[in-house]
Amino acid sequence: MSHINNFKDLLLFEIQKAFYDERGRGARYRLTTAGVSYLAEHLKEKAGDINEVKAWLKENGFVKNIEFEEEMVSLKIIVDSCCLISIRDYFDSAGMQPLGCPIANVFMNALELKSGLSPELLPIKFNGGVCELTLAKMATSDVVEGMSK
Amino acid sequence: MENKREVFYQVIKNRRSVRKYTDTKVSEEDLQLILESGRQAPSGENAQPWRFIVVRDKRNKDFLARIGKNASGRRFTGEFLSKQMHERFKGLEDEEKRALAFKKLTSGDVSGFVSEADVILLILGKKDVWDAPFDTSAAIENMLLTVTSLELGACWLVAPCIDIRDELKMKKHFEVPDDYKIFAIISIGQPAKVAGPRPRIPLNELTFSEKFGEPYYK
Repeated sequence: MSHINNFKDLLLFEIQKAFYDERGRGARYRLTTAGVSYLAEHLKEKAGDINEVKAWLKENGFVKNIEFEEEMVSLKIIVDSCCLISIRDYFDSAGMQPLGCPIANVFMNALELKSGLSPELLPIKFNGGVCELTLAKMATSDVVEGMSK
Repeated sequence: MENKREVFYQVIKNRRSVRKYTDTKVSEEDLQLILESGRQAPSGENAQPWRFIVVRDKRNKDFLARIGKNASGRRFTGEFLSKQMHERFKGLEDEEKRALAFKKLTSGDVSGFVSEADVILLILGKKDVWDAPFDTSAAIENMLLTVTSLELGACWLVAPCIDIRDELKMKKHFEVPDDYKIFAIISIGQPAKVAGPRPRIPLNELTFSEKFGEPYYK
């Protein structure tokens, strides 16, 4: 990777870290739309379809692969080799969760366009070049039944 | 006048986050005093970046309740699914009570009650003022204390404003210009129920002498 690309990635991490240092944990909720406008511009009405979003991200080299595991109140997205992985690794090295994830954001936007309700990104799990993103869909308090232990 | 020091401290101690209200209206006289108290708050370079929107229309209050309910429900559903909530309530051994607490939080009702209040204030701040978050917070606290002194109740809510997605919906609905940020909403009304005081960290655990970690009060 070139110095310029490395520099851009480090810069994106440093900007987010500076934002966190100023705003604390609340900073993550200010980044939930980062990346959404770019895909919306390119995908237009298809931006609300998670399969179209997935195909576009793969075709354009943003990720190597994406798999979904959908449950009643959550959507799990397994992302392999994301183009933003080095920014994630800077956060990991600093002992932090990434403040946000543009890949998660575009899927959250897709779900919101369908249901009118915006989901919540759970802490991201890392496994080498793979990220496990889980989006909590706004449900009802019935979600608690049988899961409160 | 009673002892000023005692009266003032009692108002501070009596303040609660009130989430249940009667149908009694807040008088215009009281509302003006509350707003005036906000106006008298300190601000960096006397910038006075705060602006207030008074919401009394039922449709607008219902809109705010929906935003707040979804915001809190979403956030707490996330905490529930990631088990962060279980960690937070691990000291609560009664399973029934724990399930009730989880239900209350994931339902979003902790923020969805606002439409029951007679008045909701939207607290805005000018973005180009450096200290706007601190200035608006000072104005909010002034108003909350005045609410208490008037024997009314209020709740300071940030949940509907913290996520940019919710704030954008509110800004569109209330036609807030882009150079202002919505920092908080405050529900105000006649309390139907006033909760007891919440636990506070003892002073000797949060006050240090000369450097962090060295207790000031031994």
